[in-house]
Amino acid sequence: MRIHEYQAKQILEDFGVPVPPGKVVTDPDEAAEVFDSLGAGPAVIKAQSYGLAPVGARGVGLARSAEEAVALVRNMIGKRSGIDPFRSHPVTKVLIEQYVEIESPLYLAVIMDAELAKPVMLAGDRLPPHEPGAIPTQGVTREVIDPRFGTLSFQWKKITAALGLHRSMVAQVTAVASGLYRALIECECIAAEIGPLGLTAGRELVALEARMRFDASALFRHDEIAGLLDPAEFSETENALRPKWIRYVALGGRIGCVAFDTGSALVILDALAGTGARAGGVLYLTGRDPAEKIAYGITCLLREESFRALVVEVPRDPDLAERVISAVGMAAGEAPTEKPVVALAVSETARRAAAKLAERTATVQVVSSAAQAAAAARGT
Amino acid sequence: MGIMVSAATKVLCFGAESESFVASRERMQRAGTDVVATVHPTGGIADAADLPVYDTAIQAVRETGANAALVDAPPDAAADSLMEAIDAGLSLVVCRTPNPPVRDIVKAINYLQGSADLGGPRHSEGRIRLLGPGSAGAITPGEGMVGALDVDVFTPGQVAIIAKSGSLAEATAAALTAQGIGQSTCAVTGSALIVPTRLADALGMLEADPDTEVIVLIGGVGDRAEIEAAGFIKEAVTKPLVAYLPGRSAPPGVNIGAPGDFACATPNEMETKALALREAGVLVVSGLEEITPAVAERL
Repeated sequence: MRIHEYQAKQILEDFGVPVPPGKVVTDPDEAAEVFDSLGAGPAVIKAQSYGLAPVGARGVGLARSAEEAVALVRNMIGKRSGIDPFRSHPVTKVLIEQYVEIESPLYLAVIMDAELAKPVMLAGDRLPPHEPGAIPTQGVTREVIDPRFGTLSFQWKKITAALGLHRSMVAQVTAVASGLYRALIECECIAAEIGPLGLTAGRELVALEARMRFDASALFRHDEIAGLLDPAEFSETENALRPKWIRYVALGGRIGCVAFDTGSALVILDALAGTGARAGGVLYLTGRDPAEKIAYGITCLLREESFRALVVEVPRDPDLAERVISAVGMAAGEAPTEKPVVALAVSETARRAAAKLAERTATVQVVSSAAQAAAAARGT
Repeated sequence: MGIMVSAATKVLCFGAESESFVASRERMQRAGTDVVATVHPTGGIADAADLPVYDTAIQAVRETGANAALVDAPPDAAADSLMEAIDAGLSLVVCRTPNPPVRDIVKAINYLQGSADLGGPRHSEGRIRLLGPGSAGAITPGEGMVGALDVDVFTPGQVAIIAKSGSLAEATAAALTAQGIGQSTCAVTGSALIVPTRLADALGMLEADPDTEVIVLIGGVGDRAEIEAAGFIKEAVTKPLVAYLPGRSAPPGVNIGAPGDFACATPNEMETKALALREAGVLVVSGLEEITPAVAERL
């Protein structure tokens, strides 16, 4: 789960990481007051978006006066972030923060390393080259933290050296890096990143930009984090499914997919791509879901205006196959539509269950392979 | 004899109160495995019909001879169950719970590593294997299973399947069985962000398994497991391999995985993985339906 930069900075500040003073606005008219409250000097104006990159050149600006701040905010609000084609939503929030003159842009991050199953701190004396949203693999020093012992004092000396800083900066680096580490652990992040971490002429460290990604599986014990999620960054369908704890990933194409397993979803996506079609989104269900919940999910997809067909995986398990088929029937009644539903039933049992529904529901078609499902959905 | 499960496997269950337990127990029994007992989860209740219920795993192991565990506990209790199973020295621990928090899994894996480091009597051989989270389990057709795979699609034979996805492993087994090709073993590693038993680990076991002649590897997007596997194959695997890597159309930077899974592609990820496997001498097929003919040619 992602959050906005201004939210990440608020969290990091709570953990003792210095950040520039600033405030988020949703209305251009608020910008002048916020600008003035930051004192003399310019302010950085940043559109807030879940888009993978910092929103790009037109999403960041420097205002030297209250009027410029208002104009920049006005120019950003309502514009599509446009960096990530799957998550292009109009900007609703803009961060106005004090401009900080720095000598060097450093880099500091901490991630849960999947291969080591340990937190790893990444430090660099400059911004490492890496894809937006990805973890840098070059240009950083990696410091592995053993969760059995936590961070050890000597490791802060190593991080200080990796940042290219003099040993006299150890206390400051410790404050920033240990704050970042505690934020990762206590808030259950997968990655927390400060880049650039600015070094001012006065030898102060300040987090100029921050990103945090949270473990969605741990949100049940972090209401304070779950509450940070911004519905404005999601589609209507996503917002309708989230309260029911149904996972849905919007992908921007025209064909909705329903799957029970990542592998099945990937096979369907590839098959669709093979016909030149693109998946509009993947809805995940589990074997434990009752028919009503499955039906709710499928109904939401049938109501999604941008979709012209659905592909629904009918699993091998006979009980579950019956439940899915009954849910498709319920959804078709709930959201009367001519939208075709392609039931992808790979086993004989699943095919028999699906065929019964297809007999009485004209919009349902039964196929036995992902390639057939893609062709049927594409053909519509 | 399979690589992880044998006719002597006896399963202790954690999370027997879950709705899916009845089905997985029935499947394990049909696969020939003794499901011997359940354990009271910490702070919970266990209602496991006619199975003996023990307060602790260590008691259950002493009294039933259990040597494997299936953990299907709720997400917030899964890691504690995994650690209790590790503490009890169970040699195969399958975590079926799909979405335990990452921090908990990190703790469990480091607990396992710590147990090995400390060289305790139960862990000195490093023989505890943790599958999952979100693993459908491991099966040795004709001998037994720990997990919830569809036993009816498997048949004993010489082809091993290792996969990140349970449903693709089952689909592959069904297609092989339909052509009269049996399987020596099938193990599902899962697609979570942090997976302790990786594809390369399973490959090492299969290379040493006299019953396996051909290996099918089914990957996915989201981590470097296939790249590691390719490196391992180059060094240490002599058996013929067929690989299928779904996900070439997965959009980079978006986690498109099921709950608890991490399937976030990077640019050109699948091309890079396919190339690495091909360079290691693996036949990489482009569709699920191409696996069976490719395997048949190599048997």
